[in-house]
Amino acid sequence: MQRDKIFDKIRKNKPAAIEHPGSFRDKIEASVEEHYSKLLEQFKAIHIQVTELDGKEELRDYTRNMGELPEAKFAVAENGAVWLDDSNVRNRIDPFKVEKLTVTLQKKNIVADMHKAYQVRDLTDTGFGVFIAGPSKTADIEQSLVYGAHGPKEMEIILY
Amino acid sequence: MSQHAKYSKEFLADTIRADWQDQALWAVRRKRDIAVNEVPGWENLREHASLIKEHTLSELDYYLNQFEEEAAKNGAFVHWAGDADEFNQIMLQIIRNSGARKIVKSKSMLTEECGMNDFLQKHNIEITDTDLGERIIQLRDEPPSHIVLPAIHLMREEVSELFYERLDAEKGNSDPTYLTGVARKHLRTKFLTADMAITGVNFAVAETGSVVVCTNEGNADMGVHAAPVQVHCMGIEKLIPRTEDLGVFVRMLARNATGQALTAYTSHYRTAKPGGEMHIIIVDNGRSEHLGISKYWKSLKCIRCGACLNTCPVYRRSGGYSYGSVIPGPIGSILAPVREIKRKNDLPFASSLCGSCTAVCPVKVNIQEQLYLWRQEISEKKLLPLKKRIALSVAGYFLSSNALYNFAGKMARWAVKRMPPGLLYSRINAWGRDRELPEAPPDSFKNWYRKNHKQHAKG
Repeated sequence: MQRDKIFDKIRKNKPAAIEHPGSFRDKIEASVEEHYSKLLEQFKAIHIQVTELDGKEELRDYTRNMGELPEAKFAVAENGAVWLDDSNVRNRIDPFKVEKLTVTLQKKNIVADMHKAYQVRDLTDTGFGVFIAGPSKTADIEQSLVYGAHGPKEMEIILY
Repeated sequence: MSQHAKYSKEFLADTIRADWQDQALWAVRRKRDIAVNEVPGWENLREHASLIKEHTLSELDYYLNQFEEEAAKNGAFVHWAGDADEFNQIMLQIIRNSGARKIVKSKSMLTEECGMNDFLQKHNIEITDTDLGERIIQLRDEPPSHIVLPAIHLMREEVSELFYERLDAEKGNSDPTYLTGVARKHLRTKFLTADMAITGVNFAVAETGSVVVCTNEGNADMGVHAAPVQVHCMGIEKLIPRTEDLGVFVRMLARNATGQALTAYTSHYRTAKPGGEMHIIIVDNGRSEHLGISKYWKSLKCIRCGACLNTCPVYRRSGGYSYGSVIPGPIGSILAPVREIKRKNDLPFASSLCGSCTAVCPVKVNIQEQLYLWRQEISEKKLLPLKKRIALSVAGYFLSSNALYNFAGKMARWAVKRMPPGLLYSRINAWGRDRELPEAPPDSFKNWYRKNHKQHAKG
């Protein structure tokens, strides 16, 4: 069996055991406020439109005519990414096929970096999850940045 | 002349294009530096990533086994391919079983390695590359010239002409936004009517049986979520142990590749969609052998970020096609000889050994060291082209004798001073073909030292 042949070769050839270095100790100890302003900076840098609201009431008013909007589980301050998965999208293709992606996010759900992000969310309880860091883009033609390659051309995040 | 040197010469003949490509790639390198400098713990990340990969490779059988078990629990079908032929056959079988006729594919260097597109086309299966750069070269019937930026060698006018001919675009409109819009419309239909989507794998997580795919365009997701069947292709070395480890790699990949903090989409596929089917094909194709070579196994750590290509002065000035290898550039030059040392005996020499590649590698592959080790091995195995063997022999002869070395130095200084340029820059002087020789010093260092050392030593 092919599988067995491959495993045999690996067992025979693998180098002497090297220890796993353990968890990465990140030195970022910033305050929540610093995370928030860093997050807004990142959103701007990656071409995400930001709407800041105050609480659920304002959210309801603002999004009244927008239909059902996915709410991101959390955002990552170091890169402006938001996490969506099976629990907050109806069909997996939804966040990709729209011309403009609009996502809501509670202001308290911000983590500092990707290390924290992978701790927050237990990825084993979703069949699909994605970090989305801005609208779809490409620079494949002469390194010119163009938005909306296949996914959305625009992205808006409504913070409340 | 070595193969790489020959092709590079052709590439450099078009000086405008060569300069343009050099600058384009260096700009990407500069973007990388800016992004990297924003991460205070960057060197720690590199060390950590390097150790995670080394650990994983040293226990690869354990992790592959865990990955397979978890994937199976998730309802995914896991297939094992010993080599490229087996991989293609397995893919064909999956296609036949599902009745798929139209397939979309997001970036996968592994499928390039196995020649999958050609193989499937021979069996009359329509396969469309959906990454914009990949689609462009697919329409031109060319291989990728860079592992991350496949169409970096093309100018917008060429893309415009191509789209005019093949995609009904306006003639003469080379605005990248317009052209991207043309591709978006064209590929949309492909996505929505595809029976199957094939992707590569950036990272495979043993702990959860998931595969992670990073794109900026969202083309992997458009394909995977629209088609009923999804197939993910990976080499055995793509594995990492735990979800937590992803943090380290995902923070580094985009920054090192294109200077972004993160790609627009970092997708984690664990299960098929309701009613769908998920397959994972795990490929060996020489990697398990490579694992056993103590001098070279560490190049299996590579996460295919492309930074070594962008920084390499030789790659930037010779282009991806000069290497004759699926993966070009510094990493390609140490991977290709593992399987084909005879045919790829020129690649380890396509380098100035400047070490920039090693410096930018996020997983600390000792590229420049391995290039040097390969040169030694190629030389020992007498696989050097005859001219080079002779030249090195002669050089060795002169370098091993004090008297001869001094004599050679004296002759060289005399020649540079006294020889008529016509003779000095004759065909034999390969180095002088595009460069001016330096001015000859008045004396050799040895003599200078002998004279001056005595003076200083007196006090």
